[in-house]
Amino acid sequence: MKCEICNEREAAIHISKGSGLTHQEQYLCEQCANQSMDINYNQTDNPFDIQTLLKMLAGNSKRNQTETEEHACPTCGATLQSIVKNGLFGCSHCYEYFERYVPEIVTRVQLNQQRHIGKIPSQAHDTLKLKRDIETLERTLQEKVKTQAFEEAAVIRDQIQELKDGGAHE
Amino acid sequence: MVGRMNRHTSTWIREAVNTEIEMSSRIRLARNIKGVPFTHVLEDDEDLEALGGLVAKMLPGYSLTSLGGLSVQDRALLVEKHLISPNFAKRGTRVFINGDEDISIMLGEEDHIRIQALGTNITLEALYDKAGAVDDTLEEKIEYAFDEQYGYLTACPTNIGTGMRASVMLHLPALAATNKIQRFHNNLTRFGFTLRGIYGEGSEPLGSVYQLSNQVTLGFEERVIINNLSELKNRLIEEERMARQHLMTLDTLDAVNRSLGILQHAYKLSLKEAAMHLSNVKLGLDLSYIELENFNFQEWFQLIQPAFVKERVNTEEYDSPGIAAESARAALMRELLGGK
Repeated sequence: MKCEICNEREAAIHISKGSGLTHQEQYLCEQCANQSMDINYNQTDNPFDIQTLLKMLAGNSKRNQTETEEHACPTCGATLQSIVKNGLFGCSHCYEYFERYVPEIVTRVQLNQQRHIGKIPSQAHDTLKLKRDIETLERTLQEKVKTQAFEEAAVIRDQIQELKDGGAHE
Repeated sequence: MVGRMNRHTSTWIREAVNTEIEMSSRIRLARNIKGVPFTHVLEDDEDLEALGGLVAKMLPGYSLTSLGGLSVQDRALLVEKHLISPNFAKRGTRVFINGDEDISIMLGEEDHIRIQALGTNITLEALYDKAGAVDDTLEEKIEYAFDEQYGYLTACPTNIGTGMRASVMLHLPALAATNKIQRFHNNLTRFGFTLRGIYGEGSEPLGSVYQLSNQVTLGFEERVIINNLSELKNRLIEEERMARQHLMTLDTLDAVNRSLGILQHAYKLSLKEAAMHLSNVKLGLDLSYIELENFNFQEWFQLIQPAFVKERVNTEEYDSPGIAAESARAALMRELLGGK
């Protein structure tokens, strides 16, 4: 696909601007993207440079003169600006409060990963753990069916049922 | 238990078995308390103090060190021993350290709780088990900030998910001598890993010692991250071995022996210089160019660091503290390597 501005170079960057109400999408080459966003978006940059990323996001929101500047997380008082300044969220609630920005930040700094699949604290999340265990078993089940290991698949199916029954009693 | 600080190197590094290329490993877990703002937003010490009291009860075998009562020198020693981070040395409050000094729990780092397990001649899996056991103990009484999608919530989004950073120190003189190390670094970054200096973020590589660690903490199970890192580590070790084949020249033989000579006979050594010569001597040992008994690269690399050297400085002897330190560092090397 060609860049939507210069129409010459190949588009390499997908830009999504605005809020849910004024949404705008563009496919641009690196050079035109840099010019259009007033920041240097260089693909070879370290994707973990959180400061640059946050600045870019804050720049986007200013551009639209949206409501973000004064809005502060009700739990800790952090604003998008203070987050940019510190490179850190103010509290765990910020992840919910700034939910509009979080997916993009996470995607960038975590190399497109968006979902935790590791350890779960056992104390508060028994149900979540159960859900995860079932999901894992279901994935294994599908693999077994694919490779036609039906006997093993039957055992796993029973295990899943057992977990589901156990979960229902809780 | 409030402990007295051990001003010497930790047992695990003193007793490190001499290995080619691979040095120490570390697992770090980042955790925060549910409902409490992250450390940098906290207005007073109340929450961290309460947390300290709770941790002290849960981990009775650990000694508690309050950073407020420590001098700059003491803090620097803890950094050089890898028991606290440089960032924590500046702003941290309390650290719990076990008797063997291979597990430490920093309270009030960038995250409320940072658990780390470290050691040599131990797998990352085993270190993860150690750190995980502490984590399990703490979560019996502490409710962590956790989200179904983003996992353990941390102040910086680069740590969310598992909150786990695994790292391995590697001695890579042959790769460092060529531009290969930069190429590796660029490739690693693309796959969510990084290579940096020995004291972590922002620190300069010294004596060709690099720290390989994961950058991505979300979307993979802890053990998968550890496995991937271990595979990359093996790959780097293999590359370093191959690169060393091309280094077996008269120039290297000369450099190794010159370095040994300097360490045995110099009267002034800067950190950079001492690190470089130690690195050359280590390479010479690995290539069987020289033989030395009791050479402990990892421990000596720690002993030449500024705070450890300062422990040996006689400040009255010299006008400038810089020269006093360089002189003390050289004296240490002569002593360790049997020079005059």
